[in-house]
Amino acid sequence: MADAMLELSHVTMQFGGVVAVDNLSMHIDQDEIVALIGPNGAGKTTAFNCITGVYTPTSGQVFYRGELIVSNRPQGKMKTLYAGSHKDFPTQVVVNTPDRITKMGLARTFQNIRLFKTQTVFENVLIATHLHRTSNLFTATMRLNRQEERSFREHAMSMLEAVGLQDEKDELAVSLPYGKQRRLEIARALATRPRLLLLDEPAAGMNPQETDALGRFIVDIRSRFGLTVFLIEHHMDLVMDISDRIYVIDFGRQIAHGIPEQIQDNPDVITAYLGVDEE
Amino acid sequence: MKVFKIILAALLVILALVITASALTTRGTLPTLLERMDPENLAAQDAAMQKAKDRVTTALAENNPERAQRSLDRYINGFSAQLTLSGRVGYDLFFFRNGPSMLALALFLVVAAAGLIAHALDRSGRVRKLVLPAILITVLYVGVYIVENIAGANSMLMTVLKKGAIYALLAVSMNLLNGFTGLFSLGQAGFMLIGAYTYAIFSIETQSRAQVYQYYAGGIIQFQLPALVSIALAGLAAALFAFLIGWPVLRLKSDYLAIATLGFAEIIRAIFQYDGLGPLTNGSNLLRKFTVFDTALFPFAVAGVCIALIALLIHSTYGRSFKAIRDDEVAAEAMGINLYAHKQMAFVISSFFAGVGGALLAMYQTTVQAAAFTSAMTYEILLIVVIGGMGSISGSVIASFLFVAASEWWLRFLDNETMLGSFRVPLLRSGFRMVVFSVVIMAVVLFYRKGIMGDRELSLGRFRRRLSHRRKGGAQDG
Repeated sequence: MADAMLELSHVTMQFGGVVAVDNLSMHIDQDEIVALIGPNGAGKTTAFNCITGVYTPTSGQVFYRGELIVSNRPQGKMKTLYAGSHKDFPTQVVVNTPDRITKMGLARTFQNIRLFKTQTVFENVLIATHLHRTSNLFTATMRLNRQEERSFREHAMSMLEAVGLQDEKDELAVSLPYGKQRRLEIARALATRPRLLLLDEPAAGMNPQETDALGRFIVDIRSRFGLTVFLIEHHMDLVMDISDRIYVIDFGRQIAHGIPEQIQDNPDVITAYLGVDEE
Repeated sequence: MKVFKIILAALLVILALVITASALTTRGTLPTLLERMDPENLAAQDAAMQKAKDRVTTALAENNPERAQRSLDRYINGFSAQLTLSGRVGYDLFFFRNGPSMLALALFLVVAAAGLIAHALDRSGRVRKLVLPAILITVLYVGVYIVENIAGANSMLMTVLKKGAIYALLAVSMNLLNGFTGLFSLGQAGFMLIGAYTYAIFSIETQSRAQVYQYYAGGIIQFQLPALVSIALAGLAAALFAFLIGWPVLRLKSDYLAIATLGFAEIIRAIFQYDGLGPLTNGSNLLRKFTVFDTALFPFAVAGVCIALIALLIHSTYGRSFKAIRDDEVAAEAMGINLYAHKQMAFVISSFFAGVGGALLAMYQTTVQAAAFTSAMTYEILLIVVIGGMGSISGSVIASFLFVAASEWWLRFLDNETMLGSFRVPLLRSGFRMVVFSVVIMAVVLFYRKGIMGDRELSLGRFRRRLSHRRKGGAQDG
């Protein structure tokens, strides 16, 4: 079997005494759309942050295309404080900063939109091409990189066209309506030329029509850019519609895994979302 | 349209040639000019007049053009009633006295003509975009040169222009860090000090070193480097220090970074006054007798080149990532921007130019003493940055000239006790200037928070668009 696009192995993230992600293992194969769902506070975004290097997990490993990109074991006072359920710790310690992980080919969007506020729509996307530079400080300042600069601009423009924002390119990013800001964030992530796109609640705050359009859009960019998509989402219609597989977590722990049809009828999932009858 | 432009260019060139010819032909003709001013030789009958006239000729014979010029001025002012100063004589006299300015003007006309021709013949439009900026830059430098020749190198106007240019560079370098990269650093005075000292140490005349370093046996460095090399070294020294302290300091955020860099500047100031370093820094004594500039064109040229480099940097892909870091660190990092490396880059580059600015300041002051580089100096620069607009290069430049003019010149009268008849105007006394200044600044910060420019730039393109917009799509520019 070829290496999975992304693989999490026994990832635990503990903040003080709170275990936000507990012994989470999952794998995402090439070209899949995989959803991570769970009630509020289940640890979905924390899992994302562990993958993208914002947090270093307390314990566990993350592989990207077979390469170990994150690996940690409880250290310092965490050795005694560790409260996760998995005790078989990896021996290696590998820490990567978010920028290095993005360079490897994982790009993400944020739950609470994080655009560059003082910049135009076009500039927002253009910044994401910076990591592909071959110019250094001197050649960039002296304008010896015209060709590269032109290709950056063309690439950024084609990303804007891909998400349909080419007409708003000179507007300030924050002046866009909410739905378009979401699409701009995706365009910006795409401009880093990722293989794996991580979307953190891309449909948050959207109405049903917009959500529907977003679903089609995600499926469309997957085939167009050869992407694998990993998303966190609360809109069940969207998740059931586009996902190939779904992981469900609650209190940091995986409670279900399977194709959408299996998840829909899973009693554990229903309990997690609706609560148990006290009777 | 094209023909018209070329004809205009030709006229400009002819005018430039006439001016050049007039300026050059009158150059060596002062003796004959003296005779022509005084056709009936009235000087022979007036001893004082003859004496004044002779003074001009002697200075000329001694090959001392400055004294000749001064003597000539005195001669003309004293005896204007007797002398013929109109017509052809007046014309020649004007060119004689303003020769350098007129040559500069001719140069400007040639540049303008070249621009016009380029504008007329250029098809791709690439040259066309460069014409107006090139002409404006020539206007600036020719203008400074002419003003300097007319107003005199030591006039208040020239003081303001010189100091303004230096402060502009310092403000832009601080803006690169505080306004464009969003790192609130207060170490500017420290880096300026390093720059000023490095410059001074390497460019003191070798024969004066024993005198300058009189308490330290002549110091340890016994050579003198050319001014531009010393300036480059000044920048590099400041950049090196920034690189070293950036490693721990840049991991701090906002206020903590400000406190750490402020502390660094104070420590540097103390270290440079340390007696043990005396052979290098002359302890707490002045450094003097180093190369200084004698024309305002020098600080204008150095500051202009440096500011242009910073502007090019800011509009490159690196500058874009600096702005991304300012706007949102988390998102910038998620876009593959290495936060620490880029912050370090901005910090080192900003410090390099602060060092160059410090060197220019040393040249302007003609002496350097570490004790003068207090945190108040940092605040002055910060103030200029805020008044001009955080994140605007042109704002910083405009604000620094306004700031220097206001503090050195326009508000001076507030410091002098003034009598209106027998009425003594209240409040006007030494120090009141700073009170008014503070009030002005408070008003700016309270009511005009974004400064003069906000984060926009003065842009010819926008100006042109606005003009053509006002013309309501009239005749296409052609």
